[in-house]
Amino acid sequence: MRVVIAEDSVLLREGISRLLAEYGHDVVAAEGDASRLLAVVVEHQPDLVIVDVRMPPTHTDEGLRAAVELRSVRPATPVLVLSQYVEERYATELLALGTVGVGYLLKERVADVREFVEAAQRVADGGTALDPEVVAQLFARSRRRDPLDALSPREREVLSLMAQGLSNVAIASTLVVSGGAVEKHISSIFTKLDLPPSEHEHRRVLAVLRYVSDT
Amino acid sequence: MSGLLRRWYGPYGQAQVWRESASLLLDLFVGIVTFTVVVTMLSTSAGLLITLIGVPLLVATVQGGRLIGVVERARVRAFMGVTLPASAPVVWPDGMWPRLKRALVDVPGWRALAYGLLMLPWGIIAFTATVVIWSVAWSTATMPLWAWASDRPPPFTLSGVHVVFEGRWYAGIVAVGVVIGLLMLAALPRVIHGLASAHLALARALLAPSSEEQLAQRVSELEVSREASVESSASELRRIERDLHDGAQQRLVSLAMNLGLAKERLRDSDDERTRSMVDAAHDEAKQAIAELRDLVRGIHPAVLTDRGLDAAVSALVARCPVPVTMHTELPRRLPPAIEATAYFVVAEALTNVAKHSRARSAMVRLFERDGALVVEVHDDGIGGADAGLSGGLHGLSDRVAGVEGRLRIASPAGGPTVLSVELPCES
Repeated sequence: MRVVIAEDSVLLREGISRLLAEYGHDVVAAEGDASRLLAVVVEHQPDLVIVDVRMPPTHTDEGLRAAVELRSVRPATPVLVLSQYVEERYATELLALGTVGVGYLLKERVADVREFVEAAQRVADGGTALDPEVVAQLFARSRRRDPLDALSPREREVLSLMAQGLSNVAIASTLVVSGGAVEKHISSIFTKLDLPPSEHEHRRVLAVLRYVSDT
Repeated sequence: MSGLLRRWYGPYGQAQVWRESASLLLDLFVGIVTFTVVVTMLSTSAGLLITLIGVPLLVATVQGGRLIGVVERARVRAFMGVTLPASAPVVWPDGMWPRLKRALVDVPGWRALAYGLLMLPWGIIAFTATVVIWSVAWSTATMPLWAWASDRPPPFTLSGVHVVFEGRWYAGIVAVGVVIGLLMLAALPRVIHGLASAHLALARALLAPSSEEQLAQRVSELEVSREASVESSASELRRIERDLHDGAQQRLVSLAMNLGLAKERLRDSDDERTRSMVDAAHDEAKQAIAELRDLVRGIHPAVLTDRGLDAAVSALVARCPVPVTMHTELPRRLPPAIEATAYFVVAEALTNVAKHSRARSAMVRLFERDGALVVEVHDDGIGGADAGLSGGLHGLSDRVAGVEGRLRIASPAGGPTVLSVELPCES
């Protein structure tokens, strides 16, 4: 896939480029500044945009704002946001425009190179990649606590992985169980939470996130 | 004998009595000038008040009063070596009417004008007394000189008694005069000093700020310096946070990523030892990143600067292992020091809830009331929390005091615990 990176730290910009190249992906542009992101994306039409939240000139959240802007102008462009900290508020802002082709991960997840590249690929394919910490925060913040308490520990685990954007196969391999067992858990979760059943992964993520973030 | 002489007449060898006398003589001339100017200015501006020209003239008069203060304090310092504290400089408010009002009700200015008026009667007294004391004392003490240089006074009759200045009598009178004169000379420096002290008291009363005003001035100075130190420590923490973010954190992520790449390369290698070493290094690097992340968040959470209190506190609430509900009503951003204090209050309170309270649920409320940000943390735990004993809560009350806030804890044994903090934040 063809990737655009916006990251102000030269060290990480080059590191991530190298990492993606290692797995056969093509970094077509690497920016150190969020302000030119939209223009660069229009020019290169990449399959994935990776953005750091904190970038010049103010070093606060311009990366996130650029990502939100990008998604509202070109909703079809998959965006993976990286950050030193994950904040539930940032996740909510990012997910407000839909869960198709969107990711929000702690920056340090690049250390687990294989999982990181998989997550990037998932986002580029229109899926979702949410950091486990974001999911934990969203769950904790959820005001519908009682139905969540009704889930078994294993079901909560599956729900959390589902919210992170993992497919049934990936969930099964993470938990080291069979695909059939995962499907059984998922249908039980959807029944307990009274959610409409859905086969599509990103719709499933959307349903789960809507559920936990609804106030 | 020589000790007595030195005690009585020593002051004439020192500058003090001469300076004080000169100052007392000057008082009259100062009084004439200030009285004339003040009376002229006041009556002119009072007379012109009906036309609007009187207003600026009155402002100039009152502010000119401060000039009298400046000159006279300098004179007191030069002649008496006493430094009177200067009046606080005028703090001009915004807007024309408040400025005008401030100029006209300027207390130090009016007090100095009063001093200018009082200086004339005082100057007359001081001048007269000084001249009389000096001349009488010296002329009496030097009586033999006059007796020798002039003719003996002619005889005269007083109430039928015929007085003749016979040689012996005359010498006796002169001798008594010398003794009285010498005593007067000994007293002179002390009398002059008394007069000078009276003038000093007048100047102190009218030209120096009262102790109340000095206290108020000191309080406002301290307030400014406290605010500056709170603000500078807050901005210092933000700087440290940014430095760590841009430096060590990025470098560690890069290190962990390279180790991750190495780990992937070694995945199929037979070198078991190297593989496990790289695995361990990779895990440790990730651990270091997580620890540094927590540390930096404890210094200053970036989301607080970016999104404000609501967002930062909701992240705290989300991370708390005890279920917490949150109610916030914060329509505006507050000063950084206030936001940071409120954030750390909630952070510490929730840490205590999770560690000590054995609570099953907790609630955080943030809202503004009467110009103060109110932070409340309730829990349904076992109670018994005390700001005096536990280190965390004690540090918290110091932190709250640093921004002039108030912290209260109601935590009876058996619970529930309510911690409430008020942080003043006038807009």
